[in-house]
Amino acid sequence: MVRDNPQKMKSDYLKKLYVLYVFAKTSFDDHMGHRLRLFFRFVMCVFFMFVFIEFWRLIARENFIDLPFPVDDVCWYACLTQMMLFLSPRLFISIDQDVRSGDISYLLIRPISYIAMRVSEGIGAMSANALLYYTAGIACVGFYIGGLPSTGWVGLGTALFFLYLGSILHLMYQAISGITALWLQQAEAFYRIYQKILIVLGGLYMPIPLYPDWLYTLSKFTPVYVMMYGPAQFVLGWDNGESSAEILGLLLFWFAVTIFLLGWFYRACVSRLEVNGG
Amino acid sequence: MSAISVQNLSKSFRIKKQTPGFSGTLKSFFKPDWQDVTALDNISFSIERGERVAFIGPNGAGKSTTIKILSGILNPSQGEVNVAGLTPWEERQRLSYEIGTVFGQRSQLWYHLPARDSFTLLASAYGLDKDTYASRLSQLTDAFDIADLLDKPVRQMSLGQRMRCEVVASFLHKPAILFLDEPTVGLDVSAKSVIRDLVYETSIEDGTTILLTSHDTGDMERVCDRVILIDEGQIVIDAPVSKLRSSYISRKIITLHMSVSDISFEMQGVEIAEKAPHKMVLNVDTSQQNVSTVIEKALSLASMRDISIEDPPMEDVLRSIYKNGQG
Repeated sequence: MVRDNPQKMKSDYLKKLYVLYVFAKTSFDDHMGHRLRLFFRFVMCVFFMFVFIEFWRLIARENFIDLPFPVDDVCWYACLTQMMLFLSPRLFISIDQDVRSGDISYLLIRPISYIAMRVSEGIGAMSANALLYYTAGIACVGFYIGGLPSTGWVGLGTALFFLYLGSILHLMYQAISGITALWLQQAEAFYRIYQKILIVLGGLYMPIPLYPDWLYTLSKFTPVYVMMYGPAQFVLGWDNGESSAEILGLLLFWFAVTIFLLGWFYRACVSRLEVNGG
Repeated sequence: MSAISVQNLSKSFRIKKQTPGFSGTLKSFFKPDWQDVTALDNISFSIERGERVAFIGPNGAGKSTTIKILSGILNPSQGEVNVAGLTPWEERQRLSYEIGTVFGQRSQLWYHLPARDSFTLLASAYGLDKDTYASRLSQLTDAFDIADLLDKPVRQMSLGQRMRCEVVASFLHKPAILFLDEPTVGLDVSAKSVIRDLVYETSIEDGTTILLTSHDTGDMERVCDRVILIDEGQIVIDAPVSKLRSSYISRKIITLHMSVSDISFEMQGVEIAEKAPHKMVLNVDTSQQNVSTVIEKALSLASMRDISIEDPPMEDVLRSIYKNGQG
């Protein structure tokens, strides 16, 4: 059996990574070109963040629950989880549209994996969003709350770093939802189920330590834990939080599982492909 | 060795049949009724390197299914296919370096970015090094006259300009085989003509094998040397374009927009297909009457605001083929 030269394989691998980077960069440029869309989406995000800040302030003021964290920290937490939802582009819709319109026939015959290309484009668009949200968004939240979280710049910076990685993982699950369209002819149904899981078990509305124990434990065994709660908990000033190393370890574990799942599911769905149109 | 070789290729799809109404929906949910639909039925053909072949037929004939199998997107139900020495559905990524595609109703350019950005992206996807990319882009920019369009966002281009850039994008990596699916759909007459000439000239220069599907007989006549006509998944005709033209496309449609409201027109081999105030559509049998003679006579009867000459629609050509007992 003839084997590829390891040196050549390494160089091919690097070339593919470079091509994916070029796709991400092109998508970043394209996303920055949609200034109005970028702006309105940002305004909506800031609006929801302010609503959640008021919501948690009301809960604290009226003593509805005994909060184990400072109320301002919970406000920061709620804003970061909200931000995570707005950071990622709606990748599953792009894939769904490719399948419905038949454009996928164009994209499948390129010398690069369709799904890797779409995820790279998603990362590019997400980075354009992050540029705005991590600067103007954080400034708006800080101004409205009236200061930094009790964990300071270190806690906030760590949270934002892991939120970015968690959002890449979220893009991969969007891609999994999107490619169900190759099989079911629509991605919406699958994505809605995933999104509900993300919102509830990821801890969008409240930090998951406030959940009943069984739900908290269940959340810890899902990838959504490291997408939302895991990164955002770095702004909660308490001693029982996960360390950076623990979150990084969990993220790497879920990246490995998700990449495997995505590749397998993609190959299975493409083999059933019936291209629409023409 | 042929550029494309297809032997006994068949493809059938399984579709769910559903009777209308609520009971039909319920029945289909619990006990779906599946039906096999044959898109391609045991077709065979081969295309030599550098040959330009039109693959034509009515809607649902199996043209696009064939192209999708040849480009590796679909798996066939049975048969053997060899494209540039590769089996498309087994070696799709390797094949992608050898083929290019232009699908008239789809775009591979980024809508909000200048065309140059899309070209750069495609060049890196196909692994072109900087120098090769620069010289290839410069060559195609000259050939397709797109120097002014390179830095213009695609959204600001006319359809004709965009199609020129689409074709450049497909030729960029110098594919050995180019699949064109309705490349001139939606374009005006002059833009169609430009695209046809450019595809023809570039394919001659690069030695590219062309497989073109279109409903427009003009695409076929101006770009291709050979025609494969497919209907209901089977090859009806495989012949040189010149033969098809002389045997079946012996009609032209002339539309006169007159300055007077009506004229009396009688000529052998010319039928009046449509008549309205200031407008007359003539169906000319070119085996009996020359188009220029018909126009001369029309001009002698009245002054004209506009005259257009068109080929009959593909459906008429097909009808003519069936009438001659070839179907």
